Amino acid sequence: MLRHPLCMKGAAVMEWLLDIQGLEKSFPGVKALKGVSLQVKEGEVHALMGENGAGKSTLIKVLTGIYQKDAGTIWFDGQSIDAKSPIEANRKGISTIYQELNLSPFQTVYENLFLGREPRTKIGSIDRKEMVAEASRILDDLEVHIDVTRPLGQYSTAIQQMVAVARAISTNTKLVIMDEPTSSLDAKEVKVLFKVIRKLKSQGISVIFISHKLDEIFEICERLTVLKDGQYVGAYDIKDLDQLKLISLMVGRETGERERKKAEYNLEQAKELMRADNIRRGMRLNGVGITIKEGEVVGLAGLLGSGRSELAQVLFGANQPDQGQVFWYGEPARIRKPADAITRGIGFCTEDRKVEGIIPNLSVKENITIALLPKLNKFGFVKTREQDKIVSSYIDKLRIKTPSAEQPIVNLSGGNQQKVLLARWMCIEPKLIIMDEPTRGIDVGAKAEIEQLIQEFSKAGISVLMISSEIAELVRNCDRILVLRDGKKKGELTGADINQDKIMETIAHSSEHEEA
Amino acid sequence: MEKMNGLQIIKKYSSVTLLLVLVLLNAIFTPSFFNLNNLNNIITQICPVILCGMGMTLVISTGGIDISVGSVMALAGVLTARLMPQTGLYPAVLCALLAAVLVGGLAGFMVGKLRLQAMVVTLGLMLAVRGAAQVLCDGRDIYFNKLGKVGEQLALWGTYKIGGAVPVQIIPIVLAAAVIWIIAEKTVLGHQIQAVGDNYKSSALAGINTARTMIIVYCMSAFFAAFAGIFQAAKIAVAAGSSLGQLAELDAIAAVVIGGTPMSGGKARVIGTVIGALIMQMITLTCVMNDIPSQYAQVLKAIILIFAVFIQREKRK
Amino acid sequence: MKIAKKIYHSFYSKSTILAFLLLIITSGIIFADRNFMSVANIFNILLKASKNGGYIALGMTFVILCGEIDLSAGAVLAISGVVMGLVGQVNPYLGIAAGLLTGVITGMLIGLMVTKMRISSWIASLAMLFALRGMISIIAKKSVTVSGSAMTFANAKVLKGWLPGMNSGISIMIPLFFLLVFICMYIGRYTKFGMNIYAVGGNGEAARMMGINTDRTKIIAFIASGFLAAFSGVLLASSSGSATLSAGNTYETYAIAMCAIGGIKLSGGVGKFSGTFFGILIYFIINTIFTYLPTSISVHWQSIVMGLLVLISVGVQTEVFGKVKFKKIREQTD
Repeated sequence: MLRHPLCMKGAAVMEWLLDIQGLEKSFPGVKALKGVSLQVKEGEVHALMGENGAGKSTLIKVLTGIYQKDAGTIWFDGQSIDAKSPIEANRKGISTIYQELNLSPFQTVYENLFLGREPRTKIGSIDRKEMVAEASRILDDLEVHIDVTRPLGQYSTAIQQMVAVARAISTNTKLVIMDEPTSSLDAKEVKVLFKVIRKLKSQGISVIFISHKLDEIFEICERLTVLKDGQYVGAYDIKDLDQLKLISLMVGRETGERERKKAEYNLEQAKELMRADNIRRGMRLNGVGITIKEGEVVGLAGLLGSGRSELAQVLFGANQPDQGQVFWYGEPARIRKPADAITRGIGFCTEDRKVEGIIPNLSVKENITIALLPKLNKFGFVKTREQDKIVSSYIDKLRIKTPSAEQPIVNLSGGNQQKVLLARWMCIEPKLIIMDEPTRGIDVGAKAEIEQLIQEFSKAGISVLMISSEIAELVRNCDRILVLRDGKKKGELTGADINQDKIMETIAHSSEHEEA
Repeated sequence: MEKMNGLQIIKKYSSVTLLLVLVLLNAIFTPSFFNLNNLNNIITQICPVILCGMGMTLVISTGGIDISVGSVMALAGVLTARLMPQTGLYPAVLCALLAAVLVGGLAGFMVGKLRLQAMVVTLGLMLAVRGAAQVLCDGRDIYFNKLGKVGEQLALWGTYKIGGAVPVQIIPIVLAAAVIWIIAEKTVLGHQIQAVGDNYKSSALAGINTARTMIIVYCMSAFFAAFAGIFQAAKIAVAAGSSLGQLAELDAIAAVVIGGTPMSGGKARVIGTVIGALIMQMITLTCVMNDIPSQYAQVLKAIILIFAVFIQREKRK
Repeated sequence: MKIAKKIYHSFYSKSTILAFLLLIITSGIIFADRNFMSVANIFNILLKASKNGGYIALGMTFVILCGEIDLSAGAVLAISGVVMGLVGQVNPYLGIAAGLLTGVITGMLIGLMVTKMRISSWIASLAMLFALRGMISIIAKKSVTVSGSAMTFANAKVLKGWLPGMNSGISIMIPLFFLLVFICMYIGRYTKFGMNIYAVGGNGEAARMMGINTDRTKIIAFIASGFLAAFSGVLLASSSGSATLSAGNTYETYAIAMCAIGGIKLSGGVGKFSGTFFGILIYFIINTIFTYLPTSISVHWQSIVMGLLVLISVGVQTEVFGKVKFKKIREQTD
């Protein structure tokens, strides 16, 4: 067993509980981690930050044994570790509390706490009485007073998280990794969570806190590490930072900005196409409003969890709002399901094309025309000639690289898949195309092509609603940008205000200066 | 793009290969294999499997399953036999079809709209419908020769030979296969069915009415099962509420699976199902012709089923 | 509305028992003149349950709780009886062992196909059903006679003179059945294996993350199912003196129905063995009720009732914990 170099020198104190250096991890086609470091002290609450695709999730998965590292070192608690599975990581003292909890929903709270290591009675049977008593004790210690004999799934996410934390504590964990723990919690529940985290701290247990909520990071964490595009940006003390600085570290500036688009015509005169007022939905949307004019390219900026995708889904009818009204050409509109949106001429390129976009084993041809089928319908039969014509024209126009239109879409590269999805919505002759992270996971060439397309849409009078985590992208393409944060609109930027600094400033703006 | 190596080609055409191998083996080793009698036997016996299999292909390609088809066969057979002395043959058949479609509609509603598990829903229906069939015939088999003229009419559906040589069952077989093939390949509905099975979420977001698609699919399955039941009853000239269609769903599922339609949903391989049914039939025939007891055939069928699924899994990885 | 939902949910888990009680009381009243509630009748029902598929429902519970299914149970019942009869001709004890072993082997095979070859349990157990039904006819041409001590044991009567109205005692099959029900209940609640089954069925990925060997758990569940089916087959053949080739036909279907009615969620992770027990009883009570009804009402309404009960119980088994999703970690993105 290797010992940490610091130890060998007879140093009085081990400086880091966790010391990751130069971590590298690649997958076919993409290098997710390009030499990343992470250092956490004992009893420290440490934030891990970065936008989508920055590598946070990969880093954690390597640490906890879900993936195996390609290069780099991981020192934990004085030993070099290379966990081959999460269970092994658990045994070494690292626990993870996932966003989508990995517990057994139908079993009771106390069963969940002890799953895999149930206490036994003298005759060898499972000692349920002991389990109940011990579970109550542990949770009461955390000041979570619940009936441990009820199924876990009946409790709110907040409580379930507490149970996960309790399980971690009871397995003698030294490091708890929390992945977006507050994404489904309300303010009160967050306070309770923080109390628990402070308790962990007092017991010498370290916490790695992954979150996008800047307020929370500043409240509970002492140090943080920032990743960007798989690279290590740096580690900082919280007291040395403010929100604006942090955002710019995460999102940063792109060198070689392309020229910003010029508005083709006076947008003041354009007709209102779609409007949503005071949309509320659970905890994700808290009274957001948006207006989209004909031919406009509107951008939605904000960090993850700000409610951008949720708003888009409401506009498309994929989700129903609890409150609020949507207007189409000024008239109140009931968009209850995607088909309603599609008939009006709204298309939606989803955020996760693998799960909600492509129909993997069907051909490129099928994927392009799937939403158009009702119109390609002749006595129930597909008008194949017309279908083929449409398909080949889009393959040409968008320069989709595929051996043939019959190729299953799953065989295409990410960029080409995205183009196929775009073609799907283009062929319904849309008035509005919503794009959620349209250039994610796409090569530079395809990226430029898609941005060019967006310009062409606008020229042709088709509106575009664009959601992107890449602020530079929004700056380049949009006529107007809405900034969302925590489900509310923080600001609306037009004209000269559309630049990276102003956007980041608006996101970082404290809550007192909200706009309606 | 990707070139297929030898192994992949075998995997892709595995079912056809298997069929050819079976035919070849028989051609060489079995005396008098290619006589008319055999062919006729194949046609008459494969009829219910293909009919149910056609409906089952579509159901499985939506990612579902329908284990009630055997019971629906019984219901349709019994209903027709019971009604036809009063109403005449064709109205009776119509009623049977209607009843079947109602059953299918219920299944489709529960699976498509209420999003309940297909296996459980069709299990419940399997029990209830079989019970209904037996209630309708009072637990006694209905013999056609006791039903007079109308009974003879229906029996003809089972025994008539076109041109004195080809069994009448060839008509429903070819029709069913053709109709389902056309639906799957050429119609909007067929494309939507396969999309829903391949990726439910993406299909819903592309505007497809997934609930309606499911309802239609299960109705069709029941519709074809009804025909299977009527033809089968006609063949043996008995409508037996208890035994008609017994285990038919298993044969149908096996045919579909061997034929290559993925159980998780997706591309509907109609011709594959036909080949699958033929393979199963060939195994039986091979055993019969070579005096191998049919039980060995059954064991062989089981092994081939496992094998086929296993290869399919490898293919999809 | 929320209050209504709360009351509904707290009753739901006990609804099987409620349904059962309702059934007993109603039929007791309706058929009071014909001694429905008599001791003799009760034991009659229990005897039928123990002979005709009660064990299969118990075994099926193990498998369904894991999120799988075993369609071969009825065939296992038949073939173990036959194996026992054949081997029993050499040595009766060896025969019993062989019969039980058959069930263990078939269960293990299905378990391996499901876990290692990743074949759906529907197909794997279906194929096993085909294969076994075929093999039965290969190894035996007609019913095999069973004789010897097994037969005496199975036909024994116990508790002579203990119970009112049952002076000649009740069949040993009944206490044996209860014994196994209790063993299963114990396993489900007080053993590690039991905990693991519920974990695997509820959220397989989570179970694996918590260190549970999901493959092994499933294999053992299939072995349990096979064993219980074999147990049933051996008992049945012993008590009747002959092992019929077509025994157990469609038993698995009814077993699944009994489980569904008993509150065992078919997607896994939910349900108790006590629930299955009540599901079994409900079925056989309905079965018996039909023998009491005038013969003008066909006995086959039974199947209709059972089918409807299955549909109702599954319709009611909607997701109680709606919002919380438990996806696989590996699919999580940044």
